[in-house]
Amino acid sequence: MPLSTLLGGLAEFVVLVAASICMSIAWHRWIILGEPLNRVFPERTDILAAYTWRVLVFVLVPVAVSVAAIVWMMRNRVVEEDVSGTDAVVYIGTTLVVAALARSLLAFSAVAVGDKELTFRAAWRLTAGHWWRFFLGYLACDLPFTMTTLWLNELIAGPADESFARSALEYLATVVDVMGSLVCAAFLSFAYLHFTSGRPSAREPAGYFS
Amino acid sequence: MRSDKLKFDALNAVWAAYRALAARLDRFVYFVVIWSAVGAVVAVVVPEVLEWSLEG
Repeated sequence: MPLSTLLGGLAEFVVLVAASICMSIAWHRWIILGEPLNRVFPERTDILAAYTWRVLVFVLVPVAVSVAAIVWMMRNRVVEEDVSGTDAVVYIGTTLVVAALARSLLAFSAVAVGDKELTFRAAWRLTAGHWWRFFLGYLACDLPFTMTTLWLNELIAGPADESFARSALEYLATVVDVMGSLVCAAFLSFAYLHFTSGRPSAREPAGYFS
Repeated sequence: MRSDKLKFDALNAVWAAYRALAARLDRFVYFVVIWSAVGAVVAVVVPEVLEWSLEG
């Protein structure tokens, strides 16, 4: 594969991650602050940077776990060139990390609205005794979309070609994936509103859900 | 001071999260269209520029 194509694919992936982060921030701010959903790119770059950093921390750990698992599976011939098997391993790795850090997830909503007090550690303390609610709630938001994405990836598994159907299914899988991240962002935003309701703030939750 | 309420109704929050998406599906489509356009431009421009610079 030519280097330019490879780097083009990488650039596309970066755009996908950026889109997911920017849309999640907009969703958090809409639900928590009642801000209109019209900012494609966040106004405050410090919030974007802080959110991206937290996402990286949260993504790099499952990626490392998944890579280790995949290498182990390849060496032991558990899966060979099996796209859905690999996807499933990545998803299990991510789920394990979400399970371990479920109580810290509130930090994402906090950083999206500029609440710098609520770090991963502070979120962990604040949500003591609510682990299973966070974990199962997050899973309920994420699982339907991930299952759909895995199914779509299964449909397009096979030799790579340039057909329209394949491109359309790949695009649809990406959209479904982003949709799932927005539902998760909304869930964490409602949790944030619940756990910080006693604090004085200038926020004005979206009227529809308040 | 943060409130430490005993009961966080996660089921209700999940339900509200799905309703939020359903309520603003128009904005979701809007975001997807804009970001897809950005992605498409990047996917076309980056390999072209790289090939041009590698050849040059």
